[in-house]
Amino acid sequence: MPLLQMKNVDINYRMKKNEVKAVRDFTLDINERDIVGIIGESGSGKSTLAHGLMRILPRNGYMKASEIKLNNKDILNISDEEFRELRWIEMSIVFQKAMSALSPVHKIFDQMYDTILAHKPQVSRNEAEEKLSKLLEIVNLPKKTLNMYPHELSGGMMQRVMISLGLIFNPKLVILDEVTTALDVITQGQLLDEIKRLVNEFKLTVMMITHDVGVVNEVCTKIAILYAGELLEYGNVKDIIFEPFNPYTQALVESHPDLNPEGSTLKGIPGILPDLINPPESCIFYDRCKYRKDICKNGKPELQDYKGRKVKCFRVGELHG
Amino acid sequence: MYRLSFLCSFLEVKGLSSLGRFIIRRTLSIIPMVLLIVAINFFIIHLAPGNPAQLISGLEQPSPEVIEALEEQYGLNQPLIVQLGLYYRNIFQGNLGYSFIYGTSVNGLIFERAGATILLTVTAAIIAFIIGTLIAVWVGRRKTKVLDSIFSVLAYIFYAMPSFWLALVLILTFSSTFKLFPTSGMFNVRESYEGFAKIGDVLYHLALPCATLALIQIPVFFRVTRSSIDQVHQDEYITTFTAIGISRKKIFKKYVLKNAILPTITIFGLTLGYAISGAALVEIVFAWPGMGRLMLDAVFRRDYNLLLGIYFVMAVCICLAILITDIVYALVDPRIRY
Amino acid sequence: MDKNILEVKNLKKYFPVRKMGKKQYVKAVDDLNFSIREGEIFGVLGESGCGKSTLGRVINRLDFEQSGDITFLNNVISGKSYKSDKNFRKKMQMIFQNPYDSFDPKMLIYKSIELPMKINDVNSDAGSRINEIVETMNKAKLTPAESLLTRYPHELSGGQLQRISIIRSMLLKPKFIIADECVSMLDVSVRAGVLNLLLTFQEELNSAMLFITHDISVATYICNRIMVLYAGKIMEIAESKDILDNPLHPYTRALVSYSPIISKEEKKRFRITGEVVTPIDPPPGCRFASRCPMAKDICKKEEPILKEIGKNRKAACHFV
Repeated sequence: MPLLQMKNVDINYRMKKNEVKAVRDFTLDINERDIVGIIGESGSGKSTLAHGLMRILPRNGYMKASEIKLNNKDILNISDEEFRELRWIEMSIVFQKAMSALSPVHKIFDQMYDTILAHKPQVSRNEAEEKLSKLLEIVNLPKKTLNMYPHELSGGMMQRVMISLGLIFNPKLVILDEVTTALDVITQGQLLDEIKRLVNEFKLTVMMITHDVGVVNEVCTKIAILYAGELLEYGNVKDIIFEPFNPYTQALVESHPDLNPEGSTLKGIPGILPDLINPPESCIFYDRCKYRKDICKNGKPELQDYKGRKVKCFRVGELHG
Repeated sequence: MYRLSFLCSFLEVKGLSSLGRFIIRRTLSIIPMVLLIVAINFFIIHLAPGNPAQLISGLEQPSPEVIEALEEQYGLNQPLIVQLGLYYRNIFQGNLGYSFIYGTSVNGLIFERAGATILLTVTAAIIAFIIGTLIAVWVGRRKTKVLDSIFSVLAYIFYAMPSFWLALVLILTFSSTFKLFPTSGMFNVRESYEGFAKIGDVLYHLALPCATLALIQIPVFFRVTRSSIDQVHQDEYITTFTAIGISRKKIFKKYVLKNAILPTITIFGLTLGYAISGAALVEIVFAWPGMGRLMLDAVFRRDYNLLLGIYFVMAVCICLAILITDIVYALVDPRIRY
Repeated sequence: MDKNILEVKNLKKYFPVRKMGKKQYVKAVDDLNFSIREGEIFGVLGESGCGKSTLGRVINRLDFEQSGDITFLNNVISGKSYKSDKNFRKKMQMIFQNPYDSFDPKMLIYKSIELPMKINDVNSDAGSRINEIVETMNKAKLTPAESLLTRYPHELSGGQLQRISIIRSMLLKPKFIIADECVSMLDVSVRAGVLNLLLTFQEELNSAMLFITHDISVATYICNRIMVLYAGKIMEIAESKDILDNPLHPYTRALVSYSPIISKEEKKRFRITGEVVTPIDPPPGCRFASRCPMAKDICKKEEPILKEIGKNRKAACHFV
């Protein structure tokens, strides 16, 4: 039974004269206990997708979908108040910029306590303090952190605070939105270790949004490749990183210096992102694809099940038969 | 400065809280600042052409003997730097000198009028602060474009209005036409009220000049708070709290407000700083017995001592206002290091 | 090939800070000794605050050292400001992290490229300058060159603009290039283009390069040798393959093991704790001692010297 079911999700941003179609026809089921890395470069719509799911899109953004279910419960067609009640209880999110993710002029305890009060108004200060110090201990932060202000902590410590904040109600689904991007290499590694441990301890299902294939390789079990707002490939991490089927995935992976055969020139992806205001009717990667043929111009390829993964490419059977 | 830091380290040993140390350090730093301002004023005033002895004498063509005698009497024949030294000594003794034109001590003149001015300007600033901020908060919570536009336009109109003109309009409307408030003065000179009646009388006279000043300052507070609220709404922690599911009401009341009020505090402090001098025109229109008239007289009739005295008081007021602002800011914003 | 183009001796750069009224120093770059050979790509690897960017700025004379000697092309350049020395600027060029900040937003790309050529007398007439710019753009596969050149910086993508900033530097035919985190802002798929362009030009001009980065994968791809910095000190200098496959210094081992390097084998962490410390008046001993799992008493008392430990290999650790 999948924990999160998304069907035909579209997310658009209204601009002055037109609309940017940031996420298009995104369909994916995330199973319980999966750690899914959503990989994409800038403009892929990966953060938009996360914000859409959490209903925190900017005012000019809106989402359409035929179905979004969390834990088999419809979360698409419910009111804002109904959705508010399941926020943080059923799913939480941790953002990239930890340093500015909490109010700078309030103590960390106040902000964490308000989080508890938002859903359990009967919890007393003392109970909250006890619970929160335990929670901080789990992410290896001292109890006194509660009485500090955000600016008194380092980036890595603040990110631990934000992760513990996300775990307050022990939600099933946690979205990690580029949580290690701003951190130094060693701090990032330490935090990733921590995340791996927490995922087991709290039996979490994780949607990890990142641009770094290396990070996904360290913690995730599944990987979803997003390009210009479309899902191009989905499957087990190792399968996809070491034997990509979709041409974009292949090009992306080959751009990574670690996966580049020694002594050979690193390959990038020439060209630029397609126009997202009027996305092409063809395969979205057509312009930059080195395997393109005339058939790729005719309409959009379906996301098809192929050899234990999902791939969107007209020529996948031919190229990886 | 070395002495100062020595004093600070001494205080550290005494185990004062860091905020206490901050306040003392900042207060002490005012002294050299004010002295420097006094020196600059002193030299600038003496740069101006014209001979004060001539003015004091009251004659068109005073004889050189008269001038000499007067210069001797007021110490005007000494080198400037000696005059400045004498002036400093007088300040430390609490003596701002003798006014040539009023023929009385500057201390007394300023003391007599400062109260009236401070009453007027501080009341106006507080009212403007409260009303301006409240309107901004009220408009900021309702994200309706119409309301926002109406108040923005109003703010522009009042901000651009000359104060004396607004004063006249208010007098015409509320005094001449509706006879609700007196046209001028601070007391009803025909009656001699005591106690609460006196307070009531002053407040009654205060209403119009105070309203004039407040109406012009409200737009400043409104605009600053308004844009500050908008800015805070775009901050990332607001997204965090929305994602958490904290109600919009609570997010606004607890988090948006406290973050948005910070720049307003600075503006309020600056407004207070100019309280002693900023209302001259309005005071003159309403014949309010404050510093405005005094300053004007001092400027036109080149009363050095009076002018220097007024500038000295102004400098102290501005420094104090900035000090208070800094302290309040430090109390509200934990990011400020002291 | 074995001639040194740049030699750095006992280079120090301290920044004063005031803490509780007392004057202290951040020892951002503390007593560095290294040299770069002609035609070599020399990597400086480290985390934020290790002093890598300061080092680049001091060598490029954008900042000035506390003490120490820098010799460039057999001339001592330390102690001088070179504010308007065209000859020096022409020989040593710098490429910055954010290309949008290194172009005048109100100037056409073409003007931005031409200006340094004009100042440095590369090609005397405008016509031949244009020809050379267009030619170089075409060679770098930035096409159509004419259309790109008549745009403003904000109309180009980060990758395009960074490649243009490389072209702008290379048209001066510098002997030495300092690239400060020049791909860290860019998407992976765009990085390759920028790195390869750097390599192409570097090879063509046979210039040397100081490549500053925090990314070990990028560093090993592009660099011949890598110097690892931590809190203003050199931890290790070695050929890049050795750094990646066989790091010796405990800090380098930690750095490599914590880097998200993709490989089929499971890798083990060389576990360390704590966070990077700013070197404000640091205590004696090894800078890394407080976090090092191998640290003994001596590490906190005595500072390890950077010693030769094999061919082309140096490390500063008591236990290597």
